[in-house]
Amino acid sequence: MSRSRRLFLAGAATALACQKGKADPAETAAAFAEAVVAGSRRRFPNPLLTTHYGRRVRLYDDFVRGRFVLLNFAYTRCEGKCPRGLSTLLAMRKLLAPRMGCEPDLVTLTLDPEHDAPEVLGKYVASRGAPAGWTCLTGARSDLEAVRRFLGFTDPDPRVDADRTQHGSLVAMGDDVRGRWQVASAQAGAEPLAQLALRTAGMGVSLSGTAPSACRARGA
Amino acid sequence: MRHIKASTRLSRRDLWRFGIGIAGAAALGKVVGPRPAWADGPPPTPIRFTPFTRELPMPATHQPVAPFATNCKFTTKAIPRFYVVHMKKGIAEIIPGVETEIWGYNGQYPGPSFHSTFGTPDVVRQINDLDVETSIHLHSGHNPSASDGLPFQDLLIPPGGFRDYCYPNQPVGFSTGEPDPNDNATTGWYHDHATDITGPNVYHGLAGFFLFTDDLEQRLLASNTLPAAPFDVPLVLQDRRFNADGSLFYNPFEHDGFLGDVFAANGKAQPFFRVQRRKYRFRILNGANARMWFLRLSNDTPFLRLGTDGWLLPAAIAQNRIFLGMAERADVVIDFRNAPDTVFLENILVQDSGRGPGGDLQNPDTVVPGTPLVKFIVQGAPVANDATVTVGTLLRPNTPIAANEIVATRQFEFVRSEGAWQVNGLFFDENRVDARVRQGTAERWILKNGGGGWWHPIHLHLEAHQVQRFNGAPPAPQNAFKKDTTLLGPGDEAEVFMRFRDFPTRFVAHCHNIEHEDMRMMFRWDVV
Repeated sequence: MSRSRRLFLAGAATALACQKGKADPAETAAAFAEAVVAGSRRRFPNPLLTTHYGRRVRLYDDFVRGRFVLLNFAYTRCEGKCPRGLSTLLAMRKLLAPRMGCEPDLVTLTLDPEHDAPEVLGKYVASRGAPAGWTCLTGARSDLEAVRRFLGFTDPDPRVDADRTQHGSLVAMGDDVRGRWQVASAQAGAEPLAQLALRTAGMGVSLSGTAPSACRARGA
Repeated sequence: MRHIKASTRLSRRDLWRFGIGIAGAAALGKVVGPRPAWADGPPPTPIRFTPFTRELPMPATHQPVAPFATNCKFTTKAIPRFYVVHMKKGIAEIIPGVETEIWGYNGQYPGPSFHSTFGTPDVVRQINDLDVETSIHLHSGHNPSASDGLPFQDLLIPPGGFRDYCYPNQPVGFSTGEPDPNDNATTGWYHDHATDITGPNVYHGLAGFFLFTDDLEQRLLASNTLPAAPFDVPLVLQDRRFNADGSLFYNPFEHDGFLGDVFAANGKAQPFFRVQRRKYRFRILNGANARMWFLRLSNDTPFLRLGTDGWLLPAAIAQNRIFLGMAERADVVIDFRNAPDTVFLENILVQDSGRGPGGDLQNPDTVVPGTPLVKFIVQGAPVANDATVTVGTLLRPNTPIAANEIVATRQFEFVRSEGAWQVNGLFFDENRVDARVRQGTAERWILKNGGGGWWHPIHLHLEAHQVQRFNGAPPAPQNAFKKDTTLLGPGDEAEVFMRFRDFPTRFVAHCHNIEHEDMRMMFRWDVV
């Protein structure tokens, strides 16, 4: 099934569930997907979320499965480290393009879903030039929290953890085909992050070299 | 020390100390079931076993091979020994009766031991048959930057590649005509150090002993002062976690520090070891990613401490309990002459989080009796002609670094920031030099824990450092001479002196909680 077809069906299913006014059991079952992470079978969060275009998507099914992806958390009202971190990640994607054959997808999940409605996220993406392959996601706080906790973007101090202004400026980079994941600070610098991403994707240690004929990051 | 009453803290881990493990937990009605993957903490190992049914394995020994063409160049005319090592997947029986895939040096876990001699260089060709990058650090070694096993892109061994590590094995200071055999290391270890992925690489098995000897130690052995092989036993302590199918569970999203719930000695979960009624030397290594150990003997007899990290102490000292942060080593003698028939090596430390144990270094949370890690089965009558080492026996003199040698003071603060770990507010960047030190000089470095309750064992490469003050006071006797890893508990601050001899260019220092290290709690320093 094509990605757009999947997205359409997911959106339709959600619309139907909303009309009924109760949760669809199928939706609950799909809140996690079977995945292999670092050699172990894991239940990867797969919540139904909404993109900055207003499309309904599933995190794992639509952005992770069979691909190489970058995941981070931010929010539009965040000043300082969110814009800095995003700038680094967007620069890192450009560094990867010559070797990967494309800029890998960057998926940014909001820490402020009550404020960051799809249209707010849309304006945010537009304000940064709307680079292709960058998707911002919002949704139910509990779903977003499940992803954040799974990725370990947490602080053991509950007060710090609950304060989004102190959130970790991290990026998770994953190659679902190899089941290999790495997490690093988004402040670590575009080039070190790009080198780590390349190694995570099993593409060697050098950013210079020839590109594959097809985009390595999508459909791996 | 804060004692935690077992009755109030009967966690599943505590059950281990009764020797009943997971099987016992189930028998007691403790639920050992799957937890949601998104909940805090990794799932417990769902495999049952009975501890102390397998013998403590001895790591194999790397055997030299015929010389091969290499780019290694040494200033000494001594003929090097050559080794070839394949890093590859293998099968290990860590839990009794369970096959587990590991990544090992020659496919073995732990890796075979090197037995090296000062004065004889080693050339070690490391061939990477794994599908991850590697870099092999010789911890306690004094080696050129290119052979130190550093986390730099150009030094990584890609899958399918190889690298020759050139170990001169010369006394520190050899290049200046002032070699100081007092700084010759004894108990080193080699382990992976690849950028950002040292945690999973070491966890899956890429670690082994690198034991050095020299004339001084040979005299201690020849005079029967120290126990010699087979009564000289390497003992690496590690924690691991398993999936139901026996494979190792590692969570790359466990950034605080990954903890296992199965305790392995030399790669075997809770083994037994038959010993005679005599003195045994144990080179105890904390090879865990994030777990610390506070060791005691169940018969409450003291250890005889011979050495700390890589080096023998000036004289043997008695220690009732031994605290080991990650990468730290304790070279000890355990005297079984008057021991009961069964003695356990126990871990009495309470640690439920990668952040570190409860309490602090001066007052850690403990539980007594602790988790038994190794069961010693003591047999026979006391032997004749036992090794003579005892409290006060002179071992290796120390050459102190004098205050008037110090040419600079630097402070390095290790702090959690924005969900990851930094040194002086910066993440490791291999292209940024955070300290330039002059070759042949000595400096004072202040290693400071930046707070938050985190524990950080700080490893400085190239040479031993000498702790001068710890929280403003003289260091504990076992830490007062040479170390390569200084453990900082919450709020701790160490003042160390260090010389920079023989080898110019780049080195690193970092936290040896490997998950912290992988998230860049490291800095580059150059010898110029």
